[in-house]
Amino acid sequence: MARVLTATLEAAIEANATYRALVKATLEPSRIFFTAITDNNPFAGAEADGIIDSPIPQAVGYSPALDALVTFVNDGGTLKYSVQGSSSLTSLSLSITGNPSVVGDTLYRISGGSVFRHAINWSGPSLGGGTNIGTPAEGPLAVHGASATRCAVICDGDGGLRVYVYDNTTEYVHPHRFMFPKMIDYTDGGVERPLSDLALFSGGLELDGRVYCYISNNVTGSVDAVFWSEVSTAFSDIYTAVPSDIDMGLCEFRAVNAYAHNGTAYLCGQFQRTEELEGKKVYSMILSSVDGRYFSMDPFTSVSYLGYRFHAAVGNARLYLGHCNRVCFSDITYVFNGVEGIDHLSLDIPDTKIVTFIDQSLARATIELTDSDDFYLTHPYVKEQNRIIAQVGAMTTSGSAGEFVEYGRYIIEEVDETIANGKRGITLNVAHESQWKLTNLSSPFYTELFSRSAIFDELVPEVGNLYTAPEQAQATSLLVVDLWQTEPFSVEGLVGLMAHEGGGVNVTNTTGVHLWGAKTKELRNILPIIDNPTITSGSVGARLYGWSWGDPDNDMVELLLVSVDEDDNETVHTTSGSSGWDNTYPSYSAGNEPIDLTITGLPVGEKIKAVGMTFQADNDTHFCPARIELYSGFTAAYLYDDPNTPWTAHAGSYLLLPGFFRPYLMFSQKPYNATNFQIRTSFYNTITSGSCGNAEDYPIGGGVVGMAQNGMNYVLGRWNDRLQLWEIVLVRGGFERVLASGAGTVAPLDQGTQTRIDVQFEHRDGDFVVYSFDAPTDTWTPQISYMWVATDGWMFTSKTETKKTGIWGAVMTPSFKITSRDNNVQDEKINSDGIPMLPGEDITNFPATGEAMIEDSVYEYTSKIDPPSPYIRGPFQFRQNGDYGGLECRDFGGVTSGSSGVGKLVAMDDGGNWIITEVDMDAQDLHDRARYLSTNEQIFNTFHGLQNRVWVTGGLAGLTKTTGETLTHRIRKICGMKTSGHLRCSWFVGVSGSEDTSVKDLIERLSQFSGARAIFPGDVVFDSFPVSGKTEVAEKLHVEGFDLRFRVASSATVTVESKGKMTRIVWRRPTDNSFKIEIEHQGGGVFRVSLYGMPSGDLMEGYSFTAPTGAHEYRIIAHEDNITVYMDGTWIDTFCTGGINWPKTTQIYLNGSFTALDLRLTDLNDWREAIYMDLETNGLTAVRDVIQERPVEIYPRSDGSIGYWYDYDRETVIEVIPPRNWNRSKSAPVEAASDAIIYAADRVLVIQFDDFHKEHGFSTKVFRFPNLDVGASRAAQIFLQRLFEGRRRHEVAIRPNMKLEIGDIISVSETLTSTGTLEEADVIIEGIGLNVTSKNSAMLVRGREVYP
Amino acid sequence: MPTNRYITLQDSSGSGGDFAVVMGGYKPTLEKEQTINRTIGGTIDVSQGAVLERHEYLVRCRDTEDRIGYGTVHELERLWRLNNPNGTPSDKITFIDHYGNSNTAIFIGEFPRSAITTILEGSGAWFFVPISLFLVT
Repeated sequence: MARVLTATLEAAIEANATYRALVKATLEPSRIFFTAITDNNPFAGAEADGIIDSPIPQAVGYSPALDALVTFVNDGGTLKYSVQGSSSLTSLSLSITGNPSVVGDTLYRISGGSVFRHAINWSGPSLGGGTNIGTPAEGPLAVHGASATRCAVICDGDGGLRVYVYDNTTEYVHPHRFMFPKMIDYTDGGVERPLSDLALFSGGLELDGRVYCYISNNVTGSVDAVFWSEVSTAFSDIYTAVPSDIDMGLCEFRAVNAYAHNGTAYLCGQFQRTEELEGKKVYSMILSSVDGRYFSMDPFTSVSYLGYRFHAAVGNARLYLGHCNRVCFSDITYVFNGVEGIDHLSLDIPDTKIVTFIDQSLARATIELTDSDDFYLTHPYVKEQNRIIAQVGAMTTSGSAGEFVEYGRYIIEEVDETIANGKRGITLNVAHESQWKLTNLSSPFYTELFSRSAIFDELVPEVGNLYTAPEQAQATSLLVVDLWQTEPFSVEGLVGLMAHEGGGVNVTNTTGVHLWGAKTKELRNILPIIDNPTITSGSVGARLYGWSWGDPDNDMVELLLVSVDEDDNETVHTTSGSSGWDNTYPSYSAGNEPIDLTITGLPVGEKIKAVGMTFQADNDTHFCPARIELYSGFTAAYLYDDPNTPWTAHAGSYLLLPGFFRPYLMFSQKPYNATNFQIRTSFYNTITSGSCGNAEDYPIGGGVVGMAQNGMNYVLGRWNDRLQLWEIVLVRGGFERVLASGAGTVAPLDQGTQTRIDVQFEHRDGDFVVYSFDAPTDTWTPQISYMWVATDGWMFTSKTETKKTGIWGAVMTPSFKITSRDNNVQDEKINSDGIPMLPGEDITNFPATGEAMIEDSVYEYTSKIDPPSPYIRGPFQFRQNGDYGGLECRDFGGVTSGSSGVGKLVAMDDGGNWIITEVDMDAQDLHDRARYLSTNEQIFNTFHGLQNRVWVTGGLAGLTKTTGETLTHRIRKICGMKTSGHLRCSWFVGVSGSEDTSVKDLIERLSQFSGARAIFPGDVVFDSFPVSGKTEVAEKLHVEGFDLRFRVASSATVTVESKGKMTRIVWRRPTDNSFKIEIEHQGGGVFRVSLYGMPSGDLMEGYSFTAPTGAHEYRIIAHEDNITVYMDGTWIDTFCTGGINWPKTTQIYLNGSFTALDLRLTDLNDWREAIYMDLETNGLTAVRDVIQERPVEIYPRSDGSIGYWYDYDRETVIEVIPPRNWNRSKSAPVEAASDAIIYAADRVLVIQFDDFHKEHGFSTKVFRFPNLDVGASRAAQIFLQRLFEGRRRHEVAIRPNMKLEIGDIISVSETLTSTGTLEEADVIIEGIGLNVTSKNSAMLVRGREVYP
Repeated sequence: MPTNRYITLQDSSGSGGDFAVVMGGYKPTLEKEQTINRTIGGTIDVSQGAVLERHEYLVRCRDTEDRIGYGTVHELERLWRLNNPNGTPSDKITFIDHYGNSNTAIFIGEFPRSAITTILEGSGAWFFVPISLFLVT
């Protein structure tokens, strides 16, 4: 870590009497900002400024021959160009689709579905002959040249955007897609943006052997990215390269183009705040990234507020912006010239112009300049926000110019100028570059940085990680509304009809010309539905039931429909010109039975608040409405009786499916907002159910849901035990649609009395896969898969809610809602002959005989009674019953036949129902009632009232109740085919697809976002690490996990082993104290990653996957609970261990026969789940939020970066120059202790610290780390160590030694004057002050003494 | 080595003249930028800096001059007053010492003009002017 000096310089500064320190500096302007177009020659048809959704596809390139920027344009399908300085647009006579792309001297274009590459002759310019480098299987929309031989192509992936990479003519296809175009409905009722437009807001580049492709996410406003690696020839996972506001729609970054320059990636685009803003300006920004993965958004990145869709390019040491041949250019600054760039603007300040240089531990410094000629006073570079690089050195020989070493990189915070007669003075107050950037990042939005969210739940009852999914309801496409709760409805010309009398709907007798109407009360108040129905189409279909007679005409009946908007404004809609029912008295004339009509012109999205009917005739009529059935153009859902019933928690640590005939869903608290996910669970199934018709409509089994908003909208992976199929199912509004199904290769494990259904449901960027656990190999094995396509619609159904995961279980059988059933027996006669069904229900799929269940009761039935033809009648008001052997109700058939109901059930809503033996449709010739007779005397022995409803319907009959205590099954209870057995869920694992982030990862991302650089010297790093057998990588103290990355040049089997005892119940082995991850290539590109307990060697779990063969990059991160394996930047698998007990000393090994390249074991490996950045939060605050109470040392480094570490292999610098002054203090560290009690976030630890005990005795202290749920033990140990080392503090004044950096150890020794006593100490440097003036220079080093 | 009775001072445009100097007033001085620190070990730690050279002369000149090449007290004052480093001429003076060595120098300090005759005007009016020049590179 110490600065590296040449031997000459080192000798010069270590000489006993030598030259004073010298300081020189380089001043570099930072910003480039255009307030006007430099060369304004837009071609004809050029776009205006601002954000344009369908921009003119174009690209820019610098022509060395012309010393000008050239703009290539797709002009209506023809490739043309325009040169800076002239608005002429010249055709190249080549067809083109999408955008052209220029990288160096190469142009890429798409034509006819193929991608072509041309050499550019910049004189002219002109193009060489095109090389067809490939034809993607999916339609190419945009191309981005990454180099002269590689490009990225964005293709229409049917709902998503898929990236292809061409390495010369070799094609590599990303297995997944950018799915944001179909993720949520962003249209707000408008139209979707076509993929061909979305694809244009993208860019591509190559950096360090990786081809990156960036695409703006039109929903979140962020920029998502993926990269392809030449090492592995594989693609990474899709990740977010530029974040945006969590509240989508507040701001967005629209990528324009991307390029690599001097070892740095640049992403040019337009930034806009999308919220309403008067005089809103669109900013042009050029974001930079040192690794291509994550980009900065520091103050220097904004280059213009002109608002044009500028493309950026670099040429001849200039930065160019171009849009439709409007060109801005400027000499380039270091910000845009890459980390390796040298030809940017700069000004050398010689040592002869520097009066004093005072630095405080590199954090801050002041530089005083001479300025006798006003050179600096008037120089444009001497300005705040510019960078200054200070170099400190010394003359190595008398009179030499001196030799220098970079001492620090700073940003000018303030320029102090002193002007007086005969006096000029300039003092630059500067701050460390990265610290300045961290503190000057003012987060432009509220955003969240997520790590992988994971949970393992052994379903211990009191834990409760799973909860009942909200809004579980039965979706229906048929809504049956009787008129039992109606009210008069009157408007001009329409007389309100009071249909009610005595609690029921009575006959209405009219005289002469009339137009009467009635409507229901609010539907959600009279029906067990979750909300008023939602109108989904401009037309709603309806059927009207009832009767009307008159002479000569009966009533014309119309439908009333009241819609209501979100502000509760009502609109009444009616049909017109419909018809009446059959006129059945005094003579028959045909009408419509039922009246089937469509009401049109309805506002989609509004609710149906009420429905009703109007009755109109010119003569006397008599009518009685029965019901309205809505059958199309809306969505609605019935509430279940038990909507909030959870699965039953059992003391044996499992959850039991609580009921039948509907799905029961439980959501998990984690993973949080999972777009990509991997969910595993296990069910034990003993369910048996008889066969039925249309078996595909009645699934039985267990599964996993993802992309779930509520109990009616989710995607499901399940085992359908009835069909013996694995299925992927889309559920929208409660309706199922099977997307994929198949028997697969691994069925649930037959265990004799039960089957074990092990199911994993996985989603990765548009691809869903169901896995089953292959017990013989202990491997999760793919069974069926499905690729989401555009016609499947939106993947998630809410813009505001988070995406849930959970478990699903159902035992679905044919079932129907009953009118009611009374089991009471009077005089040995039961009050019910059958189980009648309500209108709209169906018993077709019931077997002819069998068993049925209602609530807790089971009935054997011997026959099915089909509903009467043409329809179920009713409900009608009960009028009376009597010893004539039946009952009378307000039904009426007039002169029509009275035999159609014989054999059916006349059913009441209070439980009674009887098989009809005789019918009189005009009872007592009163012309307003029907009489139904039955042989069951209970039909007239029971008491009812006018409020009771009567139907003539079908159902099940021939009943014998075999079990159950319920006397009366009330209206709408569900009767279903009997099933037996149970379904229990024994554990749940949920993992989200976000990349694991350690403390280091988050610091790195925050630093990159703010433009700062972070280094981590505490990492264990090997460029090449030979592995032969079990080879120890490192031994770490008090860690609770590790994060290991390395690369292997082949597909050799790789094994990582670590100490740590897994606590998952079924994985526990008494003697095991370690675990092992093995990644094995099984041949043909099929890999398996496996977790073993060690030393038992028992395989716990494996996961099968495919990947390219050859070299691979690995990352294995293990923490308190989970072990996640990555290969080539792609998440492979997460093993949820149930917790790992980490020992005091953890050894981490590699095993196998290979050489691990670029191995890195992270120092700050503590895992963090998520952090949040609010508006205005600066980077330093965010970093501190990441670090929490951990005693991480944070110090600025001489290269402009900031070092973060717990500990590292410090370099010792022996100070050969005797110190000028040496102050030391010795004290007992009162804040340290021999026994420390640590209160962490979720536990209490006790740590004994021997060194303190030995030196200072027994002492107990309490330390509180309230936010540390991971890494508390290690943090506490290091905290104690630091406090203890503070017992010996040193402050040493020496001549400047440029080797020293904070964190190094300075070894000081001195033989004291006269006495000859030798004093020596090794001091860990915590601060360095440097003061260099024309006459004097001094360095003050302070720190704590190394112990022992 | 030839010696002259005068020194030559010229501005950056080449204007100036010879100025007679009085031997008693010649005081070339070398200054050493250095710091000497005493270490606790009893040794000294010397930080060496630049060596600066200052020349002090006592110029003897007249109000008006009839000798070819010699400058008057007014010319000397004009040269002394140059203080704009970016001007033409600049504040830097070409200084040719009495050995004939050419240097670049800057006037420093004061310009005290002492009359040594009772006549203050004309070629009979003589002045002593002590000047200081710092050599610059």
